[in-house]
Amino acid sequence: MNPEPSSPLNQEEAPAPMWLIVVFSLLLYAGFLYLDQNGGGFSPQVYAPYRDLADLKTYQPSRGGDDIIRLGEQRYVATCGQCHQASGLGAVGQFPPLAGSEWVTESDPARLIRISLHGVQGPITVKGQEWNLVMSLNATSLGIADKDLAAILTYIRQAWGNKAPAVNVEQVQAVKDETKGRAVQWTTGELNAVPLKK
Amino acid sequence: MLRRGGLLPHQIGGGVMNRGPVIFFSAFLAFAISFFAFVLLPQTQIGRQPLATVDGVANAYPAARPGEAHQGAEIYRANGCVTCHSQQIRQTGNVFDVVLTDAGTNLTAVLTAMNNHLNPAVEFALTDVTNALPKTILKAVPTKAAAEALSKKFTEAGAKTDLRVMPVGPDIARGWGLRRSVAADYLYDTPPLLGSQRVGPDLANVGMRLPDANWHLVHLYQPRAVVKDSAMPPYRYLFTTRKIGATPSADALVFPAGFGPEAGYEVIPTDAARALVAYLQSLRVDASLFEAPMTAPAK
Repeated sequence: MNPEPSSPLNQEEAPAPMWLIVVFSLLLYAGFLYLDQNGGGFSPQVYAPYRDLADLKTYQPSRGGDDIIRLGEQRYVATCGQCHQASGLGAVGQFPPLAGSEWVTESDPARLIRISLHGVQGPITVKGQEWNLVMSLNATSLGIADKDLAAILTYIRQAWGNKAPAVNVEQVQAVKDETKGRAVQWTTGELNAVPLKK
Repeated sequence: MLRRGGLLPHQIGGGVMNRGPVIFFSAFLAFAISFFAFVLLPQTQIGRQPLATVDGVANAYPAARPGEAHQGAEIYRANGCVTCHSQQIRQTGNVFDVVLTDAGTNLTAVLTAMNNHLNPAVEFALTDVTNALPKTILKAVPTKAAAEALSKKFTEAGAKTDLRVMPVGPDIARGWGLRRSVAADYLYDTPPLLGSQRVGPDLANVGMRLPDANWHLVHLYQPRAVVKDSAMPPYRYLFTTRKIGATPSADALVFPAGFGPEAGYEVIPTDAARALVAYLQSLRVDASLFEAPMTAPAK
């Protein structure tokens, strides 16, 4: 058997030091990780026949409403909708309905904004039905931003067949200023005393 | 290393493997590159697909398979359905449909817009504006700009229009699906049964296309009873044929005229057949996703 020719490295030069190999491996690891994460501008959301994210955005279907309604719906489902339901119908004996509720669809939203900001307690009539509950969760306790609250109120005033004018951020802020320092829920009597613009 | 007579190779003059580290690191590199490119890269790029929010309901799509359908996926695998059926829909583009949703108050202006900008061969009547809304007034407009320009003519007349995003492609033209398949569609599939052959039709959206359980059972028992010239083999071992007792079973298959067992017998599906059909019924690609947008049909 012929002996395998031994490497000239072994005899005349020192082999590559182990630390260099380790450093090289680590560099390779970091390089691949970077490549995997950035992948030359690859976006996992863009499939053929779409060219890029901007192209994809132009094909998003409109949901038959403007952006404020869509934002309102999204926020509503995450907050108020947990009790009042995505259908706006509430739950029998626990959460009064918002769909078709006269409190929601008043043309001046002054009372609605107050209810959403601080809640309501005690007897209240909604769609001809007596309720006697405490609305403990509200925009203040949930920390909902004014912009989002205006969107939510606009949404609930125009969804499920409700037809009432939109609520804007200024209206929410105005009521917030008027009721500064309030921490307890409103009662029906207090709400009825709020003057409404016709 | 080979040992001869208790001596190491170098002791008898044989060669030692003196390039061990080089060979080791070359092999290591080959495996490392494969791992990074074929395992880690897809994982970092599409490995964290979230459940999609549909119509404001979070984590609504895809829906987890109910237990029976989950078992059915195993029956699907065991019977090799994936050999002949794919579960991936292709798409080549999108077109837009313009839908008139609300004619508003100025009906004559809307009617004028219809007569001026739609099919010149048709004279529209006032009833076309008022009846059967929402109504698709123009189909398959190739670009969004053209569809929007047309919508504008109607919104100027006081009407309201909606643009529907309609995916197109050979598979969609065959009625196999509504839009292309994307990674998020397979979140509950282990493994995803994508398939590569199309001896039979694509099944990605079969639950929506063919919702009838009896149709599927008859098709599994005797494919040509419901699909003329079907190339699918019958799967009769998923059924039992028995003599009709005092009363016919409610579970017995309902065959079209001219098919089915001889008189006095009935065909009952086994649990496996039921599970397989439950699985087929659970195959639905019906939600609009950000990465695969479409205007979903009304439910």
